[in-house]
Amino acid sequence: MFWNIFINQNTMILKRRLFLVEALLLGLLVLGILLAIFMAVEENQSSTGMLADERNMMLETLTWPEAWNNVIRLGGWDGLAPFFLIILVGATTAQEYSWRTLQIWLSRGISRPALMLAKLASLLLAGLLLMLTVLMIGGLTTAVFSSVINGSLNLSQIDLSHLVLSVIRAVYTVMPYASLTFFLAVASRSTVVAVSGGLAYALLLENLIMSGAGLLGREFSRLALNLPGGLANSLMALNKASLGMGNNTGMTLLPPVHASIGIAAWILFFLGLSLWVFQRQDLAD
Amino acid sequence: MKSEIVLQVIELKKHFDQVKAVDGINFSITKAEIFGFLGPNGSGKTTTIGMILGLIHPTSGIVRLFGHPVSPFQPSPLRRVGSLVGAPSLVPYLSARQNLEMIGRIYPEGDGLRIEEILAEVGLTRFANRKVGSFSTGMNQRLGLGMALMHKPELLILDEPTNGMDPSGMHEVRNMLVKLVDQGVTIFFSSHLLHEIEQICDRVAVIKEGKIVAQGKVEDLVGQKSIVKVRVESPRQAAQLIRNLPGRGRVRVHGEYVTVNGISSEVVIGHLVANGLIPSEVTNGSLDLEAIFLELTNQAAVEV
Repeated sequence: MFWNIFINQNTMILKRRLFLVEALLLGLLVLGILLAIFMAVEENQSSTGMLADERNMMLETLTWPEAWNNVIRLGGWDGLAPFFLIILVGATTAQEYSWRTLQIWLSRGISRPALMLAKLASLLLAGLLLMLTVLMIGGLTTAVFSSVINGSLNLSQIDLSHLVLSVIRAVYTVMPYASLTFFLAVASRSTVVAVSGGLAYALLLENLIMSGAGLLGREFSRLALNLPGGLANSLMALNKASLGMGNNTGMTLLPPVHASIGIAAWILFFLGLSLWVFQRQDLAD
Repeated sequence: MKSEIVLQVIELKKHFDQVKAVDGINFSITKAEIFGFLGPNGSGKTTTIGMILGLIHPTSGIVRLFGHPVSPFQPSPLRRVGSLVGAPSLVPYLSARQNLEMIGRIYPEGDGLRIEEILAEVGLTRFANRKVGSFSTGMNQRLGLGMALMHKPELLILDEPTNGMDPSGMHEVRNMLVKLVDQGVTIFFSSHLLHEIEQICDRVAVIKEGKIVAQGKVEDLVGQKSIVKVRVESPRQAAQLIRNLPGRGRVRVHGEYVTVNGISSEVVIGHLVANGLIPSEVTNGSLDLEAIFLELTNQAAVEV
């Protein structure tokens, strides 16, 4: 039964024009960013306005294997995909209240926890698909750049299992933001509140809290690493390592297991809150 | 033989802060019965239906479906219920067929064959692949009804099911409901169209300001309320005299006629004649459900 509810929720999310438009926009943005970097490198090569080291660094970001790390980062917590996912989660969840589509399932004996879980699982899948869009467009584009810049494309540079793990990590790190937005949508029943709340946290509040904690001292700073952004940063550092690159961010990192559990705790916390609120809601017209 | 109770509502209450939307109502519906639920806007009809369907938490009281309690925490008996409440809940960017497919997925009966059957039954076969967002109100109602019938429910809860339909559509729905009752389906039917209720319902309950003000068989309710119509030369004076009678109902003047309900024609004639007014014409009749509804929702409660 849960599987069928999940399939229904997928139908409702993936057949929405919003999802298709977001996937298209995200793909175009990734393409645009990579093309802009490539053109900047090419232009500076002819004008010699760029130092050789800088140029080499930029070239590395466009060619395999380093390019993969950058492409995955575009889809990770500090890239583009979270914003698209926050908008998708906020809009699809809150609009169900105004369209009264939640009633379709609840008036047919489906339990509220089952519906919520299916909904969140579908949103995770949508997040994964958005990430795959970034990967596909970014991977293809950088493959072309690698061939043009290096004269050939060395597929053996890529460790597929590590690549898959990196993608899973990237999607996983975005989920606390998606589940926060999900909770805001359930609690407020408003697209504006959910989307603006999710974006405000991801773009502004979290950074402010982390900076504020840094000013308060080492202990607070360490505590702030347990916010979704800090945990995501720790986990995403593994991607560089798995692609054969070291951590040169210079930032304090938490152990990967700690980061994974922390992210799961945030997802469960927001899901639990959403369930608690949803169970108590009256769905009157 | 005792009839099987399909739906039972016991002392059901829903208070929104200070507003008593539903205030301790009781009724029950037996198998293969069409039960009409009437009330003016804001009387608590939709809130009651919302509580029956596990969408709204009751403040107190119990809803039982097929003998099992139902609430937002215990929704499982609702799997045997089909419902269409107000404007149907549909996914606007999906086609009629896709909407039905989604419903079909959660029931074992909901296979492709059943979908085609339902589309034909509600007259939407031609529009099956059209997006629901472009449907008229009547077409939405048809699809909503199809979605309610998809899994062959034992209880059908309908709130204004013919809303936005043309007369032939309304007729089709009425016939469909009667056929379903013949097959053993129980129907809880709420509508503003009182002649519709009068035509198809076995029993009705009238709700006003969150309380049931009348409940019983349609014929009992209609038969109990007689109306006397007299033609006199001075209708205003006659109306004034009739208003002095104890136990009288509403008194109205229409041209040369005065109508009154709640008392017998003998009492009216005797009183008028004793006061020097001789009626030239007297008719006895009974109020239709619409008149009774208006009276019940504007005046005092009656027990049937």
